[in-house]
Amino acid sequence: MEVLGIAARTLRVTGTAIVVAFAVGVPLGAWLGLSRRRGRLAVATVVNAGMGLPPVVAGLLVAYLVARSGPFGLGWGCSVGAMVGAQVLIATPIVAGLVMASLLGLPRETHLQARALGARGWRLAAVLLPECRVGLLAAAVAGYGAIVSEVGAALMTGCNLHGTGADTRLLTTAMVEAVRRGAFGEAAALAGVLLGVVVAIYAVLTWGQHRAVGGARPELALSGRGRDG
Amino acid sequence: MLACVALLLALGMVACGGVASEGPLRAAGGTIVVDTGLADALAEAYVDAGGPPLEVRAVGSGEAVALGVAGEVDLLLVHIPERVDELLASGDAVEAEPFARIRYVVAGPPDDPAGVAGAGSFAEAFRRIAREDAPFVSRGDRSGTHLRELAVWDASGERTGDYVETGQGQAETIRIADERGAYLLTDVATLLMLEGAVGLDTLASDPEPWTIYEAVALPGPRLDDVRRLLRFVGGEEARELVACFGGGVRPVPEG
Repeated sequence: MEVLGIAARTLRVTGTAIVVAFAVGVPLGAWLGLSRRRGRLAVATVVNAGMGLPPVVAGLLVAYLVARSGPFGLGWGCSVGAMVGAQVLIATPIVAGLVMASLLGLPRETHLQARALGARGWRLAAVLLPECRVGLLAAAVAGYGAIVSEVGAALMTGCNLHGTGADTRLLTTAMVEAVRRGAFGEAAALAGVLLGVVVAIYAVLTWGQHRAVGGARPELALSGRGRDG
Repeated sequence: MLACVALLLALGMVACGGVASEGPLRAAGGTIVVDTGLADALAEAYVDAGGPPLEVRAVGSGEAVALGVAGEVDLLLVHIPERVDELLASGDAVEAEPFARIRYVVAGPPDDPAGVAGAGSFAEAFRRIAREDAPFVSRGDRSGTHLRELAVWDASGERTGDYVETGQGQAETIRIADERGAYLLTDVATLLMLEGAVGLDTLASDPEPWTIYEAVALPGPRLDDVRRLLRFVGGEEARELVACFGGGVRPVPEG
């Protein structure tokens, strides 16, 4: 039963983090993929570099910023919120970078058509983003993969606490603790649940990905819309 | 202090040789002796005295015993004397040599919401914490410190409603207690090591604040080497090294 509680918390924390990462990363990636403003390349460089941000660095940064002994004296360390913060920092550049890449990867004609139709700014993004459904799902796959399997940042920001005062264990951090105690059977059980969770989530994402491709070829969809207008 | 420096220099220059080295001895130990650097200091002095190198895994005394019984290590550096006595009785351990005393304190946030300061014993301090349901952080890893803490809770007869286990080492647990503004039972040496990094105050002591660290020889192919190491850590040089170590670490009383 304890394992189920840890699994439920893992889903809650990683789920919240990936939703926030999408809320921030998709608009950011859309701006980077569509804007022609100066400064875009500098931000794109930061985002691309952020895709390779080592999770422990993200964990260290968040743990430091929210710590009681940190610059703001917050005392929010060792909490579920701090873990979500670190995971958002890990996943957001991945989501933004892949959204940007898939927008840049659309055929040049698609961009030109959308602009010829008068779409600008957010309306341009609203027209073109559905054309990169596959890229968006790839962003979900890569972003979620980075945080659900991560342990260093979660340990630094969540501290793997358990007891009546708080519980911040994730499947990964609980596994590390079990191994440390020499409880390999318990660690194996946690590993089994983690694998089950990951496979189930990726089954859904993969199904979505293939449906997105099978539904309509992106170019056809846009040219069809063009004819209607 | 000067005497201590001179001693360390002298230890560094002694090169007895003569002891056959067949690779490092593998030890598992409590996190306190490892994190504070005491194990490293002893290992270094032993190499300088001509002994083989010593590799120490910091795992908590409970887990160290499990590793020892499983034959993963040649010796233990632990502070769970009752458990060591059991191992000696059952033949899972051959010999034990006490080499250091470590002092415990109850530490907590400087504003001391449970009014622990001035408590005459650990049990009294824990009662005050329980009465206020104040936050308390525990190792929770069957380490020597954890077992001692559980014994104090038993003696106090109460338990706080805000109790959290970390499952991690002593240093991590101190940092977590600091982060949560919580109380904990800790050794003085690790607490001093984190001075400046954490804002916890030493609040209460006990008439019997000590725990004894022992080097425990396990049966195995390296037993003779381990026995020589036990002679060394129980000897006068190591005694003076431990006395010089400071930070709530003392040699064991003689006799």
